[in-house]
Amino acid sequence: MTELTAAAPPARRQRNAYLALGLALTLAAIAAAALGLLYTPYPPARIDLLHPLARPSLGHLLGTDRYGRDVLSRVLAGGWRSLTLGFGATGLGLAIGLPVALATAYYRGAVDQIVMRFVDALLSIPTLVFALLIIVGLGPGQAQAIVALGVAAAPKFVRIVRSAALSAASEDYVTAAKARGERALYVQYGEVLPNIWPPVIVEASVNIGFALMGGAALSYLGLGTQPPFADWGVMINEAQKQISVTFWPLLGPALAISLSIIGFNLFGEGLRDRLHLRAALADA
Amino acid sequence: MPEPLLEIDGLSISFRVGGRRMPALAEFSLAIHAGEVVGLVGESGSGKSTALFAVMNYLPENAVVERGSIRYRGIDLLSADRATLDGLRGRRLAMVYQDPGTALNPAIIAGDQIAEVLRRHLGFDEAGARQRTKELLRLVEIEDPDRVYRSYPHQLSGGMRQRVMIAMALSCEPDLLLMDEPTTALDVIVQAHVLDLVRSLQRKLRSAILFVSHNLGAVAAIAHRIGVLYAGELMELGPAVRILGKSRNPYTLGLLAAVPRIAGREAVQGIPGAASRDPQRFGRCVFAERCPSAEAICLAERPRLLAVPPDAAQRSRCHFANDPKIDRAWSQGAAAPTPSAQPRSAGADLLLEVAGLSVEYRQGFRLFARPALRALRNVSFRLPRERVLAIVGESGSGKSTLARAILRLEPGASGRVLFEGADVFALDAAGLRRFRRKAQIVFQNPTSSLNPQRSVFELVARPLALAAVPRREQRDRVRAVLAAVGLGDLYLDRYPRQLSGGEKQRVALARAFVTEPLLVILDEPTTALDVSVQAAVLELLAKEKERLRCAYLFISHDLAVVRQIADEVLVLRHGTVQESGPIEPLFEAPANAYTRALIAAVPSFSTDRATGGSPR
Repeated sequence: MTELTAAAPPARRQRNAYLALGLALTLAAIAAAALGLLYTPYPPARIDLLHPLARPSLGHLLGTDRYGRDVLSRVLAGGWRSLTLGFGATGLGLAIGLPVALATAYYRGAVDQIVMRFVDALLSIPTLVFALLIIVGLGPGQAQAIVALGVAAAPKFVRIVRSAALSAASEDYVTAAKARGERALYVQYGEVLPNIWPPVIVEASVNIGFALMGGAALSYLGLGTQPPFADWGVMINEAQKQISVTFWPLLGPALAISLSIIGFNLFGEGLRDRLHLRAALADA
Repeated sequence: MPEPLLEIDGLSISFRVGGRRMPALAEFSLAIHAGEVVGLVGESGSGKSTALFAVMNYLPENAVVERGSIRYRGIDLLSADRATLDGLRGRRLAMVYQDPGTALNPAIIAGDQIAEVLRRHLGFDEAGARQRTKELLRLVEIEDPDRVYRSYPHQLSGGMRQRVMIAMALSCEPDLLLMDEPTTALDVIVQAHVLDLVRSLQRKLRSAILFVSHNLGAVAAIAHRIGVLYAGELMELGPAVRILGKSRNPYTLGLLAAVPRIAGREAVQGIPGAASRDPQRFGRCVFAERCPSAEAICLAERPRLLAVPPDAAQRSRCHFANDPKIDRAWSQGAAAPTPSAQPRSAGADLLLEVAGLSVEYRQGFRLFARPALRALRNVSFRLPRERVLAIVGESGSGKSTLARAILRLEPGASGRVLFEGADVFALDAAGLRRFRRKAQIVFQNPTSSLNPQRSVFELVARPLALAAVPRREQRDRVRAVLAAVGLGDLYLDRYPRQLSGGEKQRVALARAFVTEPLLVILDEPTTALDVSVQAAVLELLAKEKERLRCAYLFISHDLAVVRQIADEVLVLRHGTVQESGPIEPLFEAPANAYTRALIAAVPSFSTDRATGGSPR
């Protein structure tokens, strides 16, 4: 009956386009951030009080902010701080969430019940509010923002990884591993984990976009990166105060952050479709 | 000859998969006359379900009808408009599905689902529909129609649900009933009852039936004519008696030789290899590469459906259909029947002893504990070395729980399991490791039991790595065991998704055998396999048992398979032992009523050439 359950042909071209666009935007964001570490047209903190709030021109491609600092230079220079936040928070969230999820899916029973009720309670708090609560305890700053967003993302990772791990753990190859006397950690990381990478990777790349946004929000509220250092959130915060005068200083950082978030999301979703498609083809 | 009710003519169907077209059915022709039961038999990928769904115009979206027509009383079903189809489907043509659990809506009581059909198609009013539904439920031999009417599908057993489905299909008194593996999801006794029911209903109502199944026994029990499909090609078609008794096709003959018989211990013979999936296969004989009688012409030219004397009622797609040589084709390779148990002194050389084993499932993690569910009650048996004990039972009998409990994988187990005299439940860590090396398990579903991320070498070598066998020796031993299960070195670097079901199960067996265990627990090891592959795996199991001198605990619901391999049998029902003892006396003269029912329920057919096969 396999021929009857074979997947309908997916709109492959469209899905590949999403994946390609996502990958392009993601790579562009990473490249811009890397470039910003090596080169900026002007020193990002150089104040030029004679030319504040300038419109874009050949001298300043994205204009200047209220202190006459070059917006393009600051977008480039701030990139790595924003991306570090996205990757760092996601990495931390995974580092906490993955082991917890694998262990609960392996042991089940009472441990699972207690841990998951606790995780459910944490999930009921909106991520950003959760991050704010943590940062209130830790104090403002870039590293603190990473910790706050990472810890806040962990419950979501636990939920998603656990559900994937539970279905993998119910496969006979896990019973077979137990029956030949494999240790618990080997079963979790050697048998279960390799089979649940696809949802983990997808969730991680979507979460990077989300952490970028959360980081920008924290910076915007003055709780993340501290001035005079720039990241995209800080820049948006500073620029929005002059929005009644000009929106040009807002445009650069806002575009940078939106395109990055869209990029990571498209990449994640494109990857998910791609992996699903491959699974469907393998089954056919 | 009167006009056929349904006429399928030259139907070719393929599926679009990932941009390619995979042909599934080639120029399939079949006519069904009023009141006739036609059975279509085939293994997985044979195209039998595709043919059936095409009649209902229920093909999946990626199916392409390349050529051909399907006519019902002269109406072309493939080009019919929506309104015509709606008028036919459910009224003149009705379908019974394989899984009654998913074909019924779980949120609506069973009776209302039938009544709805009556109201919609036949214009019954509410009270009339209810009345008629109860009559229909009585027609399908449901004793308590009022209760079943009010029940939700999940409150009914599998057999009851299938009866409800049949009642629904019969509600508009269709001319043609299409049945897609209607008994496959059912336990063996229920399957026998449903087959009896279908047969008696057919006699009463005289509707035509197209019955599709992989189970030759089920088809033989019901069909007037049988069509044999293989890899998308109709291999043979003819009266049931002649197909079963006087087949003129090497594939049909191979299939018949592969079916284990409940009647006695005869050698089953597998067909080597796996069905071709080559999109170009229809230019030649699709069975050529597995056929012992194949010659050059078989690879060069597609055989026609040749009429088999004395008349054209039986036709076989084989270049040598009328050549006596195909009769000898399968007899050459037939092994001697597996030697039955030599009597041995009781208690000598005991390997495994299970005493008073019970398993309880505590239900959930709750403040107020609900009564525990007892999956296994007080099971005891002894298994001497190098013997095969079959654990037989229907679904829910606790046979898989027993397997897991013996291997100390069931936390709720109590009682004693002695392996080589040592209490398994009391082993320390080192003792448990030694035990795990000597006792292996093989599961029913080979796809689930092999980690898809591991190559065949990694899968089979892992138990050796656990036992700290040096890397170089691992490779040699993996090669040796793969050769023993019939897989060459080519397979070392393949991944499970690149293997067929039979190959996967061979890898799972290789993984179990590689540590040279004393006990292998086989949990329905052939149930997920096609019958021709099952026979080959059974041969392999018999051979490996001799080589390794190990004992098997063979868990199965299929008594015919058990008869081929077991020395002793233990019959399990609802977690309790019904009967146990040596195989021959138990099969010949079962003492227990349940055992008798189980044995009687196995669909059997005769292929005796002198008498001719006839439906039981």
